[in-house]
Amino acid sequence: MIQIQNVTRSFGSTLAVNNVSLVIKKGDLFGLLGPNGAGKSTLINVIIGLLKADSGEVSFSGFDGIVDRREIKKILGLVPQDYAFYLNYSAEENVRFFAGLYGLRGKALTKAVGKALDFTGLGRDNKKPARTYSGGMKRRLNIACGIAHDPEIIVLDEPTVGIDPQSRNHILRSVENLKHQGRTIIYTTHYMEEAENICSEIAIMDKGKIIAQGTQEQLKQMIQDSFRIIFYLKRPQAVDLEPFLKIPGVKYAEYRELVLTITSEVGISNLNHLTEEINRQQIILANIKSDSPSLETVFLTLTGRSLRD
Amino acid sequence: MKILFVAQNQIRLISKNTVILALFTLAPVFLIFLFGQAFEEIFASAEGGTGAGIRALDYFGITLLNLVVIQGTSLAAWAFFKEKRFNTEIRLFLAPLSRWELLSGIFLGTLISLLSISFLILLLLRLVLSVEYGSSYGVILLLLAGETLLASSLGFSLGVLFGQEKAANAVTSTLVPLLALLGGSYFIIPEKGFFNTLSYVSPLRWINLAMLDAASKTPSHEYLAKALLFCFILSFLLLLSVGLKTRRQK
Repeated sequence: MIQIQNVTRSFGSTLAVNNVSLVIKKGDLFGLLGPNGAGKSTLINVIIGLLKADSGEVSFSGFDGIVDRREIKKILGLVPQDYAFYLNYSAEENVRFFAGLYGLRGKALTKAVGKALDFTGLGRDNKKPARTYSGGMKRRLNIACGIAHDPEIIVLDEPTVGIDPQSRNHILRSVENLKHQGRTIIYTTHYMEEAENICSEIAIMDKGKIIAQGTQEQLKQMIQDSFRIIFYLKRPQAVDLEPFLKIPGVKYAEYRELVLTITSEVGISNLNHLTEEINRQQIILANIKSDSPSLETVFLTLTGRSLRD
Repeated sequence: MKILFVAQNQIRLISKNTVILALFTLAPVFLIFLFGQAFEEIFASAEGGTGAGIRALDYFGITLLNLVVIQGTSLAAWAFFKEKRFNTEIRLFLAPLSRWELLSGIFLGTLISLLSISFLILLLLRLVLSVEYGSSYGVILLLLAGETLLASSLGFSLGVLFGQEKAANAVTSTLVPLLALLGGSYFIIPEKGFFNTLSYVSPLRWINLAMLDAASKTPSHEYLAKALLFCFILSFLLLLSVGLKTRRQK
């Protein structure tokens, strides 16, 4: 179990993590969800010990954060947001070196390297220099380097940024496999659909604070009356969002590329007012769709902003 | 064991960098050949001074070799900063090894790589250009080893002390040519005057003098102790500063 208690960390006058407390249970696939700049990576760096908290503490069950620092390092595996490997090395050489830092040698090292490369689907292309790899392969190599020493706790910091859907799916399935193998996983992302797909427990972070935490069901329960109505416009035209935002119950309104999205806190009880406003602005519609609450809606409801704002 | 593992990785990384290898081995051979040809007549007609009775190729085969070896400072700084550049320092810091083990491993790997490169250039110069190094090969190798240690310590300490690649590179690219200029790498140091006095502070002056002496027909080795002391004491002080800085960072 990882216990984070009242952790605060600032950089100059910027408060990156503000009094955060969390409990991550053994075997959890814990999602840390939030927009870019929410403080996720800073919190992760404090958890793994790369950054010192200004106040508060992080403890691992059975370990003391300071006395057993080396022991904690042995059970941690990190997949950082940016690629962290040598571009002149092949996948095999990279994984071999980083796994070797954990004391693996000889047959045990070769076995661990092979396992990590097979797990990430790099078993075949592991002799070429990493600089020749595609974005997806580099992401997978980044993961292989972080898990080859068979850590109990794996921290993945935005592991799917900037890759094709095929590689993303491969990574998501791999993360699920790691959970099935009994690993405790901390997974940070700003893609809410990823957190929805794989995480058993989710904390939503914004401006350095945890604004909600629980299982998906618990989080959605928080906004059970929220409803998202999506109006698809037939052709490009000017849309004034202000009148929509003045309608009682409307929490959020966005117009982007022929799509007008309204998030309502009062279910569909204000649908009449919305259609009246649509007519008043002479908006010509092609289609209308409604969405049940998602993590995106949870974030919108709690912050009034989109995850990608 | 972990120090050796990190050092081994360092050597492999440098050996895989073909640009660095070409710059440090083939380029100097070509440069020394050019200098040897360009200044041959001047050296042949010289009557007095340190260069009397020596071929231009033999003079630059020593002084430019030493310039290249001291230029290893930038390779040592690169060795330190490449972990930042590749973002691999995050993995190294997270691995169960101390900062001391990590830095020692990187330093040792760089030192061994630079030593190998230095000896390789020496071999190339001897075999390809027939540069004359006399019969005291042990002394020549010892001086190269001392200078390599100095270059590695200097580059490494600049990396650790400055922390910023641009700052360290700025110091390296100013300091190394200055030491080389004062050490007589580009031209023979006058026997008297201000420049001669100033040149006393450059370790390259002593290394060049000791090596030119060792390569001569009747070596006296009068500069050997001074050159080696310069290298070892400076290296010790530089590494001590790294140790103190690392300790404070802890």
